[in-house]
Amino acid sequence: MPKGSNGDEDFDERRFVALFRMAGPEGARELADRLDKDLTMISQALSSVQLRPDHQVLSAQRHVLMAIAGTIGANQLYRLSERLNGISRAPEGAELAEFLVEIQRLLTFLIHRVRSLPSDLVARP
Amino acid sequence: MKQPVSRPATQSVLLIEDTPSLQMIYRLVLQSAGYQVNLAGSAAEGMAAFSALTFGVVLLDLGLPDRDGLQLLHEMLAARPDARIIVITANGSINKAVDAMRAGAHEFLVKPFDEVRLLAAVRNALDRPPTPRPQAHIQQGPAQIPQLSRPFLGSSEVMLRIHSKIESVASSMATVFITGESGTGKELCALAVHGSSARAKGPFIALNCGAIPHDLLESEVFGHVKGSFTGAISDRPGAATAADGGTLFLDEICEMAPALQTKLLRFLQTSTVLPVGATKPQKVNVRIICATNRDPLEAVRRGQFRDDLYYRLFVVPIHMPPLRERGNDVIEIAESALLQFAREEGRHFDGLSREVTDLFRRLPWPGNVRQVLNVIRNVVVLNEGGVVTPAMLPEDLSANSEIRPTQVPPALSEVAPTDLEALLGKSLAEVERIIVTATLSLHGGSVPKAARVLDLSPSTLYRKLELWAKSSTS
Repeated sequence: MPKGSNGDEDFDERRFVALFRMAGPEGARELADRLDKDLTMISQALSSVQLRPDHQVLSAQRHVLMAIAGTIGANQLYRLSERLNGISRAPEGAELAEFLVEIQRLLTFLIHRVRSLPSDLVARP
Repeated sequence: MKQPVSRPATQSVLLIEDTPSLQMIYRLVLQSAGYQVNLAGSAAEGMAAFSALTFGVVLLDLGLPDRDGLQLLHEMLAARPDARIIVITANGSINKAVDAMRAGAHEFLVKPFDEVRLLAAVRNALDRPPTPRPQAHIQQGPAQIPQLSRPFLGSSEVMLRIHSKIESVASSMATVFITGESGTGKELCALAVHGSSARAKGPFIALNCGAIPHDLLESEVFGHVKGSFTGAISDRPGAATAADGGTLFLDEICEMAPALQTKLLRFLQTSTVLPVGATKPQKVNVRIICATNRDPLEAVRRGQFRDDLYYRLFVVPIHMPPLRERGNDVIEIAESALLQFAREEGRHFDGLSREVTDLFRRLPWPGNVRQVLNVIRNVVVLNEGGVVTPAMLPEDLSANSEIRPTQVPPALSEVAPTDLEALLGKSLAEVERIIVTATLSLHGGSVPKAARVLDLSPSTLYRKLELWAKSSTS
């Protein structure tokens, strides 16, 4: 997916790839699976917040999202999730909803990246 | 993945982290550096492994699903006081990290962190001798600043008067109200009063009223009983009870919410505490010391601080002077810090050059002693040794030196008359926005740096910026 279209405009490709290289082909498969599960879980939790705002869920997911995004080089997603704290404390709505849509877009991009790692990085299942 | 060859216990790491992907990444980083890593995904698993084996370092995520990580930290340190535990916190949970450090954690890492930071923390923990446990009392408040072993350096007349006042007041039960700008040593002054008093062997409990969310402050001060609110899973004594027989230091007292001010007043009048949800008050014997970096009387005039509470607290005032009014103390402090920090870092410095001492005397030091210590720490860390010259100082420090005339308070010296005129006629909110924006711009848009200069927490600054951004777009 080209950078800057639907993707993270500040994605650190080198960092992302380096983590999988460090794991080796077998480990990379496991790391990809774990990231897929963690990110999908966050995405689902945020979807539920979009339907019914819940500050506690939002706060917990935000922390995990920031930690993962910042660690693997999804810098735009990291910054957005960092700002989520202030936005979520604002009285009501529309801005939070917009924010969550943007975060979901970047999450989708990231999950896609994790699921479509090149074969030189990851062993086939 | 292939496990590395078994190493001595000092090279083994217990990693307690519940997010599977992060757990794996941290493990990979540690294994690639040659450490043997044992994994736990919950507090229960972590404690079981900790009890069964000996580890060189424990990496403990404070946000675990089955228990509060701080509780686990306490339990581990109670079992093995010399354990080297590095706590991992989520971004934005810095208060928790500070609590953990005060409880005896070796170091803290704030997520996200890279492998360099992770490995440096583990290596440092393994290289250093075990952390001595702090006194068995809770302390909550501002993050630790680099401190000198002798806290009240300086032989200026004004500081000699403060020493004398501390000695006079220490033996009484009178409430002490410490005022002074940030970084002038208000908490050290409170500690000195406590340490010179007959209560010195009792607890010294510090609470930063500005750092704790308003809705938690009452529980922090007075405690709570199980079930009194969501999350109150057990009875918990507050700071006032924990300080029984000692001293309760309430920092940033002017930030206390009005409702809690009423309760504090009742506490001062009756010497009893009523935990949240309790029906029966408890008698305690506590000396109160409070502090603020604001003008407390002005806060009273604005209606932000109860006047009856003010008069009850303002019994013995001590004003900590800003460094710019302490004459040659800045040199004494800087030289002492240079010696101490150089010793800590294993380096040798030959003192400050003439140019540096001249510059230091001219600077207004808006961050006071804290700023001097940070500058000297910076010099020691980034230079090998020798005489400290202006070239070794942080760039922004030297750059600012020429625009600040000697002995003029910075609030006036930083704003040229024409600039000041431009501000006249604007509302206080507009002036605030102008100052904040200019400070941000001066620091290249860095919110943490600007927040430090403005003496705000970064989160407060973020909230202000978001609010302004919102109002601009609407």
